[in-house]
Amino acid sequence: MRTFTEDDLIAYHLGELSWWQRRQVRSALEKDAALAAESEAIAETLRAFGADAAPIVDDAMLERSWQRVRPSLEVLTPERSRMRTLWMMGAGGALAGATAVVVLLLTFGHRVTTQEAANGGQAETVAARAHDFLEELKGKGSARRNVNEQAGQVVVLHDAVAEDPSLAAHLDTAERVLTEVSHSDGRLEPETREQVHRLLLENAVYYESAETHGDMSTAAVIDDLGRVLTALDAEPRESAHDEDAVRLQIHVGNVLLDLRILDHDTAKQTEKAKPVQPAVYSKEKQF
Amino acid sequence: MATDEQDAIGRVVAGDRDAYRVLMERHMPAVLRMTTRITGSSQDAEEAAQEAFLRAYRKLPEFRREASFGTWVYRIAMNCALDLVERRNRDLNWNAVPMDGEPGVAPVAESHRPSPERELLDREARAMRERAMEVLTPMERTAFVLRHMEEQPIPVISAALGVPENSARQAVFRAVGKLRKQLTMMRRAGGAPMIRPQESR
Repeated sequence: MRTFTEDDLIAYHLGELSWWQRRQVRSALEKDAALAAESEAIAETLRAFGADAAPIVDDAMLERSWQRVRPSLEVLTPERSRMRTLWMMGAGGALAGATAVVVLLLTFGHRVTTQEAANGGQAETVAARAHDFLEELKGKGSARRNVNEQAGQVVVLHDAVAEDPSLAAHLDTAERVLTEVSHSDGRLEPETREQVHRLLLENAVYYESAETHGDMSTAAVIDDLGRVLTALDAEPRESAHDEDAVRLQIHVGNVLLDLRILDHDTAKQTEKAKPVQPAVYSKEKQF
Repeated sequence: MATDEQDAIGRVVAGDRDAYRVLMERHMPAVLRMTTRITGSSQDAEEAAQEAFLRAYRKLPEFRREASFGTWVYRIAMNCALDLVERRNRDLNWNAVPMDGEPGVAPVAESHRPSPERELLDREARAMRERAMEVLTPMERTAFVLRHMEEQPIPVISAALGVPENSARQAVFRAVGKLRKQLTMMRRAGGAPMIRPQESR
């Protein structure tokens, strides 16, 4: 008979299972008293948190909200003139683009020969930085170091994510922001850029925390996250066609995948709720 | 009703700001109910709801008329509420008064006026629930409230919060697991019952 996890039971109570799966769970509940008890505990939890009454919105509250919002409402431009403005902007942009292409074609040869000299001693280019970043990733893990005061072995003392709610919140936020970044083109919105910067500042602290816990897989993900955040914070994407932007997008995708795997693993560990038993991994496995 | 709404949207887009009041009045109750549940504070709930209506106003020219304005603004508000909870968590100096202790907290909908004892028990149970919710991350709290209390489907939650469906689902599952543990601990510590007998489904 199939064994059911806590997640299966939660999904059952929240109506997330198909008709066939529901039938399977019901049948298992009838036969297994322990499972039925667990199911009842989940149902009770859901009942407890479903009991909040809704707030009443009275006229005074509506008036207050309206008075607060009203001064911030700018008069919207009527659609027709808006369309005309957009059309004119588009036409102007196309004309400017065409002119730029012609100018570039005319000056290309000259610039190619003089570019290297002109760039010498100047600020680091995006391409160079991307190259360094990739080299650094390649060399990652080649230098061994003692972690958690254990030579040769990493002893996982605790699950850092499960034990530190602020770290869990940090990873949740990072996942959300990176998802947003990976689904958008062009420059980062000021709001997103601010979030990236804040996440970057906090990231180092959480890396230390995970390392101290001896949770090296989490520390590795946080480390990668830090690199992507640094790249995003320092050089937001100009265009999806830009070579560096594509590379950065791939890194964002990789880190997102790691975050999701971590998320999934934490959920599984929470579900098992086993007593803490130090697990031993080799360093080579972690990096 | 839908025609009134379309008419109001048309007037707003044509430059009549005051026509937006019709939309706010109609959809504020549902939005505020949800933001209250997510933020756990009537003050924050109002702030998130107002921000959602402001964002919706600015994007109104891009709004597809055949869609429902209510659903649209509700989804924007989900995101605003989550952002606010995350902001509050980050701001260590934030001294928000918990909902049960707020002097100006919004009255709750009841079909009858409860006795003073009942009110006291309700308030205590609400405070305990709010304390239990503190163990959740902003994402877990938001996903849980939206799925369980607001009965929103996972695809809607994932779209509104900008995460994949599986992440939203896992966040809900983690939240239920954590709340269950908290309930057990509180019960062992001899706390008040968290639900009334008539609330059991």
